[in-house]
Amino acid sequence: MIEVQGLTKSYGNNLAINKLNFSVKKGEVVGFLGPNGAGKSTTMKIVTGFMAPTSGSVEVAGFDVFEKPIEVKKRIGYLPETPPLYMDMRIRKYLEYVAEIKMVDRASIQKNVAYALEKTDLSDVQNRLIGNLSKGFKQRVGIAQALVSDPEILILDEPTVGLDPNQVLEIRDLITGLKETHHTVLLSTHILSEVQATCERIIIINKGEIVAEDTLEGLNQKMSGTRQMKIRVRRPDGSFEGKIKGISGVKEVSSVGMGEFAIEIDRNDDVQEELAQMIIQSGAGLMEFRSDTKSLEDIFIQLTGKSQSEVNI
Amino acid sequence: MKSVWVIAKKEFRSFLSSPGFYVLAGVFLLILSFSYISMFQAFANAVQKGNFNPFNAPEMNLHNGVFMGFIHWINLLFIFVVPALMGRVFADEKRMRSFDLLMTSPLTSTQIVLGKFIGAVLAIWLMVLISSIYPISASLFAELQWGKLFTGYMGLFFVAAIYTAAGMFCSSITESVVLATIFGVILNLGFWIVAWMSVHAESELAMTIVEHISVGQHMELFNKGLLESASVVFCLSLIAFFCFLSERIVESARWRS
Repeated sequence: MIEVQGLTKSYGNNLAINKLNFSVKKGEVVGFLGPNGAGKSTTMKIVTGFMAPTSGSVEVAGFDVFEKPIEVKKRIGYLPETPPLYMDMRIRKYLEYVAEIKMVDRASIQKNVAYALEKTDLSDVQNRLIGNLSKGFKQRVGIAQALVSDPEILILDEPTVGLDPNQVLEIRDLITGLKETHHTVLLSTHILSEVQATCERIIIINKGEIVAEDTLEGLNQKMSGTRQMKIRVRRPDGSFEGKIKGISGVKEVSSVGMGEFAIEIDRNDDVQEELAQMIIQSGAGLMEFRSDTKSLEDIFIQLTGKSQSEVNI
Repeated sequence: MKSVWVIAKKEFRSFLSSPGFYVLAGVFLLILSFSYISMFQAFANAVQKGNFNPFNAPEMNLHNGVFMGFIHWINLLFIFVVPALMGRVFADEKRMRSFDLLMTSPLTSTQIVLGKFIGAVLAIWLMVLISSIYPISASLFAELQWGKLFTGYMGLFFVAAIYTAAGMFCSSITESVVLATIFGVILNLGFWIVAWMSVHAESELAMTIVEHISVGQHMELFNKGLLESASVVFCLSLIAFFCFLSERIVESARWRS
């Protein structure tokens, strides 16, 4: 549905994005992840036809963004970083206007507006002036305008900024719901839990370059050849840690305290089985035995070289 | 064409829902009322004196004495009022980022610019129409020269459209409403100053050129009751020129951003 090839954008000597290549299939929800200033918004602006790249090509639904911009724009619903709102308009009138300029059939305008209002929970305030709304409401109106033309493709630049936790959950449900109705979604964020909750595939971008592109599971596997295990036993004796270390395939063992141990083993089921057997045979009283997958946060930090404090979770 | 009309309707409504429009229209009509009254009084005084000088009689009519000056006043006020109204047209869209919506909607830059121009010019023409209350009310007790008044008003519609297109262009080049307004006023004054230059032009050719490119000169002809195709073509060309420049600026946003 979206094919990006060799996309480069430079501002003078400053390279915002450098030879990006990626694709998004029909019906996929793809997370575009990266620290602030990584080039996410620039890429999205180019894909929507708002901005021209320095070089490279973008195809949306089979149409080249720069040769057939109107065809592409008919199929895209876009929420920019700052919602594009008219402060002197009422929500309903604004959505009707957006539907009209997005070339929605006259007969479908009211139906589409009602759908967008309902999905963003704005029906009760539809006659309020946009200028008088809170930041969260404005963000929801922004999402509603992206939905109102019922586009095949939705490009959402940080859709949950400014929303309260309940609204964040609602928007995530909405995005998950869009997937069920075969919409294609490209979602940019630097909030990792958002990607984890909604996206099937993740593209991580840093300093204008794609540093990883895979499913969350796939990223986990790629990032590490080892597996983290967490165990808890009731009666660990002095030799317990040594016994674990004695198993071939165990890389590292560290005691977390209160009978808990973090163990790094080779990504191999045999090692895991042998470890389980050894603990039971040792009579230490196994209470918990689990595989601890790396979080997206760990992957993100590893790939983008950011410290924990710089990552917004 | 449908998209042009959608944008025009929105623009027209946003003019009419803006308090600034009413404030400026109010000030415009207030100044106009005062100048109308003083011109009428001056005309009445001149007529009284003219009674003793029969040679002045042919020139001494209501159109020459009052309405020519009145139409000049409207033109003069529009030099300032129209840029003040037009300043926000694109500058505000850029500042509030609603410009992003236009640029990512299935619209061409030409449709955006034409829609904005039509919406804005209809709102400004509304002010021209309101100003016609003065001659219409005068017609209740005096005989007017409707033909000259008609061409004078036609000139006003053209001039208002030129200022609108120029104001739109100024608004398209900046994100600041204040700067757009100032640029607009300077540009409109420029159209006016060209008319004065013609007096000082040394060669006949220069004088002819300056006269032809002066909005003031063409307005003068309309006001005298002359409907020349050259004037109509000149006004339409100037409108088209500024609409074209605005379209180029809007389109260039894709490359400059």
